[in-house]
Amino acid sequence: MEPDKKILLKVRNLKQWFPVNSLLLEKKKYVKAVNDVSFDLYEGETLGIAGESGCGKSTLIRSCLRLLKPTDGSIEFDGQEIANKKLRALRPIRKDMQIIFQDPYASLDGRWKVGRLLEEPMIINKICSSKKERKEKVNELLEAVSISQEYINRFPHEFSGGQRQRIAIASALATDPKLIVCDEPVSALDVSVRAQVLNLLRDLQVSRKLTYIFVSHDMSVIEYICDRVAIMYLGKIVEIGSRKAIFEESAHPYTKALLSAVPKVSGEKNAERIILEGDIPSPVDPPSGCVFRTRCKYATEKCACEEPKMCDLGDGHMAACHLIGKA
Amino acid sequence: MEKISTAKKIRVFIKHNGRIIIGGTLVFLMIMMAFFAPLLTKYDPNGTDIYSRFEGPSQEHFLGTDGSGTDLWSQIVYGARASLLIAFIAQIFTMAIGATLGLVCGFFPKVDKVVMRILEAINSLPTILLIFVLGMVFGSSYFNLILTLVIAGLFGPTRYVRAQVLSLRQKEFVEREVAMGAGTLRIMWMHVLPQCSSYLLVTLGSGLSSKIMSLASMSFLGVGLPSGVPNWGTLISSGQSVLMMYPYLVFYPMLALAITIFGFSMLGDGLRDLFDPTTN
Repeated sequence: MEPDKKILLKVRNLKQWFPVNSLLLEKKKYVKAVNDVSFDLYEGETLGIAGESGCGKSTLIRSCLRLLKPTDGSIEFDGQEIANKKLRALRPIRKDMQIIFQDPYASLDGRWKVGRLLEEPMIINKICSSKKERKEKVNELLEAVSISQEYINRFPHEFSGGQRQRIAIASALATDPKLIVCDEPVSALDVSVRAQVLNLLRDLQVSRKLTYIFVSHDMSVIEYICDRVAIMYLGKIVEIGSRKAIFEESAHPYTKALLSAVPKVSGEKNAERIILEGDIPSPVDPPSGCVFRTRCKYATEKCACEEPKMCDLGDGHMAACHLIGKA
Repeated sequence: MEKISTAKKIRVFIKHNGRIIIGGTLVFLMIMMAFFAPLLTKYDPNGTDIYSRFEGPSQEHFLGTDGSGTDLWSQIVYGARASLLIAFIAQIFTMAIGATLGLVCGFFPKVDKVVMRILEAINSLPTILLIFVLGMVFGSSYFNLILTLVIAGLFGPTRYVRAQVLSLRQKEFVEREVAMGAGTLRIMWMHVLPQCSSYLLVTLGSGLSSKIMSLASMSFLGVGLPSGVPNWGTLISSGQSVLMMYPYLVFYPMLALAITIFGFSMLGDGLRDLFDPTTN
C-alpha cells in the first residue's frame, strides 16, 4: 500500500447502539451492534469485512452510509463529516455512495420495469435531465453489466438471481458513485454465478475507478476479491490488514479460527482445525476486557480485565490481542 | 411479428379483463339507474296507495308494493341515488384519508403515537353506537352523514397502510431508495402507496357495502337520512318486520345491494390485477 493513497472513507470510534426494551426502573440496556470501530478506506481499493453472523458487519456498513444514525463517533466521506449531518443535507452526498444488497429479490421494486428501475437514481439525483439522455445511459449501464437491451421492458421477477444482481449493480452504477458497498452480494447466488458476478465487480472497479467495501462471511470470496480485510467479532474489528497479512500471517486467534474453517482442496496440507466452543456472546452484555476471551483457548487473566489495544504489526496490519508479541 | 386482428385483440382483452368488464358494466348500470330514476318508473317513491297494500308483482307494480302501497321498484330505483352517492363518496374519502394518515403514521413515530391512540379509542366503541352518537352530534345533512361514515371507517385503512409502511421500510428496495438519496415523500408516493393499492382497490367493494348498511342503520335509528329520502338501507330494515309474510320486500332491495357490491368487488379485483404486474 503506497502511503500517498487518498483516504475516501475515514471512520473513527464509530458506535451504533440500539436500545433494548428494559423493565421499568431497570438500567437502560443497549445492543452494542457496532462498538468503537475505526478504519480507513483508501480510494480504489476493496476492503473486505468478514466475521460470523451477528457480529455487526451489516450494521457497520449501514452506519457508514448513514442509513442509520450513529450513536457516537465520526465518519468522514470524501473529506466531509457525515456522522451528524441531517438527512436532508445528506441527500446530495448519497449519490457518491451506493449499496448492493444480498438478496436481489428484495432489493428491486417488483412493480417496476428494468428501464424504470435504472432511471430512478438518475431522476432522484437529477442526472441526465432529458428522457433521451436517460435512455442512453440506461443502455450503457445494461451493456456494462452485460444484460441485453431487449430486456428493458421486463420486470425483475422475470430474471434469474444472477441477472437480477447484475441489474442491482447497474442501478448502483447509475449515479457514477465513488464508493459501492456490497452487503454479501453473492451469498444468495448459485456457486456457478458467483464467480461471474465477482469478476463483473472487479472489471467495473477498474473501468469506473470504484472503491468497494465488501461484506461477506465467506472467506474464500473475501480472499478472491479484496485488497485489504477487516475481521469483526462482536461489534469490534479485531484484526485488519492486507489480504496477504490476514490470510498468511494472521495474528489474532479469532482470525486463525475463522481461516481454519475454510475447506481446503485435498492435496494441500490440512492445517489443524481450530474449533471454537460455545456461541457468540450477547452484544447486550459483551464480556469484559477482550470480547473474544470467552471462546479463546489462550485467554489469560489479563484478557478479562484489560481491553486489548490495536497493535501495529507493520504495513497497516493491526490486531487487537494481548498475546501478540509474547508467544 | 404477425399481425393480430382487431377481433382477436378484443377477445384477448376480454379474456384477461373479464372481471373489469363485468364489474364495470354492473357498476355502470347501477349508476345509470340512479341517474335516470324518473325515466324508469312512473310512481312516486313516497306515494301511498291504501288500496294496493302488500301486492305481489303485477303488471301495474313491477316488483309489488309495500305496507303503505308504495311501489317497490320505484323505491329501489330512487333509493340507489342516496345510497350509492353517499356510500361511494364516504368510501373514497375513508380510503384517501385513511391511506394518508397511515403513511404519515408509518413514517413519523411521533405523529403515530398520537393518531393511533385516538383511532384506537374511536375503534373501541361499537360501530353502531359511534355512528349513532356522531350522527346525533353532527345532525343529518349530507355532509355530516359522510363525515360520520368516514370517521367510523377510518381505522381499517389507516391501520393497514401503516402496517405496510412499517414492513416496507425494512425492505431492501426501500433502503436502497434512501441510499440513492430519495426523500420520504418520494418513497411514500412511488413505492409504498402502490404496494397498498391492491388492498385499497379490494376494499372499495367491501367498504361500500358496509357504508350502505351503516347508512341504513343510521336511517333506522333516526339519525341518518331524513324520512322522505328513499334509500336501500331503510327499505331493507322496514321490510324486515314483515319478512316472513312478504319476503320479496327484503329480497329485491337486497338483490340490488348485492349486485352493486358484486360489481364493485369485481371491478376492484380486476383493476388490482391490471395494475399489479407481480400477480400475472
